[in-house]
Amino acid sequence: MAPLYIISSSCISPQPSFGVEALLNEMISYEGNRLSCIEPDYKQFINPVQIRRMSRALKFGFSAAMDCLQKVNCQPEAIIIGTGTGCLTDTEVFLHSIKDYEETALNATPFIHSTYNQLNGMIALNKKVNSYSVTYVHRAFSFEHCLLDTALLFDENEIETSLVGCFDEMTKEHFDMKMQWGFWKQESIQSESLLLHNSLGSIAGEGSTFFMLSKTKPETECNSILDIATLFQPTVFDLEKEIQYLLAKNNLQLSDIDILLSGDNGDTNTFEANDFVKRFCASSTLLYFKHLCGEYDTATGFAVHLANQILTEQVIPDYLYHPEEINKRSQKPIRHLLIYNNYFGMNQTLVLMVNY
Amino acid sequence: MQDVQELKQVLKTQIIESLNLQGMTPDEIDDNAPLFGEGLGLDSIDSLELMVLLERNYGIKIEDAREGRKAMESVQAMAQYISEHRTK
Repeated sequence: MAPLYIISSSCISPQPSFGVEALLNEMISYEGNRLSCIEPDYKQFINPVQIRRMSRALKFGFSAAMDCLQKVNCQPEAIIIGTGTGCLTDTEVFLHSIKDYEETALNATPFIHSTYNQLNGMIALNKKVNSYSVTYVHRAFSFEHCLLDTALLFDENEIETSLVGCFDEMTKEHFDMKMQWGFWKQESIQSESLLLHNSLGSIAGEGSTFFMLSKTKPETECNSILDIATLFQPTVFDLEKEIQYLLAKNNLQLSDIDILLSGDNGDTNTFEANDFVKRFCASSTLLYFKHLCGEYDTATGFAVHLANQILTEQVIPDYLYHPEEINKRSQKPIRHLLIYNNYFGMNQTLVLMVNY
Repeated sequence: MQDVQELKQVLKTQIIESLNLQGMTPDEIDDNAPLFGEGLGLDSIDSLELMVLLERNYGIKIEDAREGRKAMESVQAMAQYISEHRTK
């Protein structure tokens, strides 16, 4: 796979990540099992006529995309976006009005905005991009397929740059449904202590992350995504094989991985796989990210943004370590970083990144 | 049944809610100002939302586009049209 060079990124999350270039000095810890995005002042990105029609997910997705593009001031040749559930608020409004008005007199706006590719269209119209524009709706592999698609387009010399991103929102209704299905912890916890709770389920999250990716290595210091692997309901043997294959393909040894950024979401059902990867990569410094953003379909996007900042800054804040392993701080230079995301055991992802 | 004057006030509140005209109050909408283009500056998607408003709240279904354009010229025109055609 051709490396995907990251030339800019922007992230709206439950942490104050937006408009901040450096790593955060401290994290915000939330009480309760549902983390919501810290929303910026949207008026700087969206005109008043558009903003009154847009739901939260569209607003934070669009703003993250615009911010990412503004940083590099260049026109993307492709817009590739992943979302697990799209604009849930609009979908819920539309479905409720179908029921309430017995399939008559339905509002146009929630219907239009409930379609998954709405954000692609809005960005394309705003930036006057009329080339490749695709939305991947592959549940917890949605963002991963955006990266894979970009890699294929780069490999085939179709494009030089691509705006790649993801967005997902958590509504009260969706949270309540998933609570009944056992996705979230029954007990209310403090998000910073997510990994200390040995119980079923996780905490819910949401967010939007965008990257401007380039096929060509910039002249300045940069980071790139070297490789990606997606595994559906793998066994630990599958995981071991895939990690080894990923490293071998990129001429790396396990000992070359300086950091393992784990997407352990605190669900005891996924303990076996998370524990295996942790032990398998024992030579790497182990960090975590789900206590910052919560669990959602496109949380890998948040992890890549965080990894990009760690690689650039060469600093690891204390809040990324396991609360009981803070004394294992690493001071060594960080070159290779492996993200391992695990969405309730079903969708598991490996993303290999490097700093140049 | 409401008189036209009363209806205009109710209608303005419904328009603000239905179109999510943030920060606007009924008093700021001129009875005779055009709803589209100038005046409130509404667009084609808003016209669909106003059609839904008429159907849901007053049982009015506009089939003819020309008639719809006339009925939605201003708050005054809308209130007049509603008082003449409402079924609920």
